[in-house]
Parts: sequence; C-alpha cells; structure tokens
Amino acid sequence: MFTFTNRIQFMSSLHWMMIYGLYYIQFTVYVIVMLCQLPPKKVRNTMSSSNLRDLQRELENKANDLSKLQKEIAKNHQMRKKYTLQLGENELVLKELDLLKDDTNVYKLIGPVLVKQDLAEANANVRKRIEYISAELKRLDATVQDLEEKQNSKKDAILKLQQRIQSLQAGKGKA
Amino acid sequence: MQQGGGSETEVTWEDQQNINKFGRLNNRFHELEDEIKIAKETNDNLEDASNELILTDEEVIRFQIGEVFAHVPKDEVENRIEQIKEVTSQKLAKLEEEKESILAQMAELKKILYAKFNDSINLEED
Repeated sequence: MFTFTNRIQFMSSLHWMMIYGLYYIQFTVYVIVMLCQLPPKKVRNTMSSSNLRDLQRELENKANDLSKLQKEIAKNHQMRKKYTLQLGENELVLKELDLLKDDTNVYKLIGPVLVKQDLAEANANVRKRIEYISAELKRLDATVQDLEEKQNSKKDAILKLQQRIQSLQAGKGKA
Repeated sequence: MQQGGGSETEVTWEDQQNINKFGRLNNRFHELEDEIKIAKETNDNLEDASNELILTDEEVIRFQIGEVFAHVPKDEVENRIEQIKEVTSQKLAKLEEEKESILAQMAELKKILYAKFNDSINLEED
C-alpha cells in the first residue's frame, strides 16, 4: 500500500511523464513534417551539385578577374620602372647643365642631327620634363596602390569562395 | 589562350596545320606592330630634324654617321635626311601592306577554325 505522500509523488511523476510524452509526440510530429517538406534525396543532391557548379563558375570568373588585375599591376610596375629611369637621367642632365657657364654651346640630338640650343631653353625643357615625369610617377603610384587593394579584396573573396566550395564538397561526401 | 568548354571534335592534321599557321601569323603580326611603331618614330624624328635645319643659321652641321658625329655641310645634310626619309617611308608602307595581308589571312583561318570547332577553340587575345 502507498502512503499518502507516496501516492502524491506517484501522481506527480505520472503527470510529468504525460507532459513529457506529449512534448515528445509533438517534437516527433514536427520532425516528420519537416522531413516531408524536404525534397527527395535525389533532388537534394542535384540541387547541391548545381549549387557547387555555380560556385565553381563564380570562382573561375573571380580568378580571371584576379589574373587581369595582376597583369595590369605588372604593366604599371613596368611603366613605373621606365619613368624612374628617365627621371634619374633627366636629373643628371640638369645637374650637368647647372655646372655650365652662360656662353657654353649646348646641342640637342634630333634624329641624326645635333642642333645647337640655347642653354636657358635646354634648362627649362629639362625642368619641365622632370615635373611631368614626377607627376606621372605620383599618378602611377596611386593607380598601383588602388589596384593592389582591389587585388587583395579579390584574393579574400576567392579564399572565402574556396572555403564554401570545400564545405559543400565535404557535406556532399558525408551524404 | 584559354580553352572553351565545347564538345569533343576530332583534330585532323590539316586543322593542326591551320592552328600552327595562325600562331605563326599572330607572332609575325606583333613583330610587325613593333617594327611599324619604330619606323613611325624614325620618320617623325627625321621630320623634326629637317624642320630644325630650316631654322638653324649654321652652315656646318654635326651629322651622326654610325657611332660618330661628322661635320657635314647643311645642304648635304638636308639631302641625306630626305633620302633617309624616303627609304623609311617606303619601308613603312611595305610593313603596313604586310600587316594588312596577315590580318586578312588570320581572318580567313579564324573563319575556317571557328566553323569546325565553334567554342572549343579560342583564337581571340586577352
């Protein structure tokens, strides 16, 4: 025979079992409904593979964009190198011109002919050229910096895409 | 050149010859472009030199022959420059002609190869 307290304990445990049971049934029904809403396994596989294909295509496009950017950067570096050399040469010429006296003969090579030129004019021309080259170098530096930033962001995007593809492939492997 | 994603097509010996020929023509086309650029620059320099000669009041000009500068009378320098200009212009015309011929041949080969391979072949440059 149960004592009064035991009966209360028994009733309360029965009560909780019923509540938990109801929750369990509800949860099971919910899971079944969710599973019914999912497409068949075959369809799911094709969905993930088409998803994967899209991602791979996107990755290919991004890689192409990156290689274009890298070519552009290389081209800019080449131009920068050329301008730097020219700047050095012109600065050397300017130093030499500064050493000359006012009555010195200065010649300029045009085609196969050495033509006499005024010292002041030669000086002005060289200074103008130096100004122009310096401005071009500044512009090129800014362009290269901008391109390198774009390149870095592209690299990050590619890395993220690769990770997504890997995770998708891993999921596919498990399935 | 990147490859297309088309279907498999059999590549015959003749196709291979056409592809090789296209490659050779393309290389020559780029060489010609560089040569034309140099010829044009030379022509411009000669034009500038003859203009400077008109303006100068010197009777004896320092004229470059190979690695050295020789003192040559102004009239003779003018004649020499005109001769060089003529030769350069003729060379430039020849180069332009060859370039046109190469472009025509390349267009013909493109037509043949694209007709057979569709998007399995890419003959365009980046």
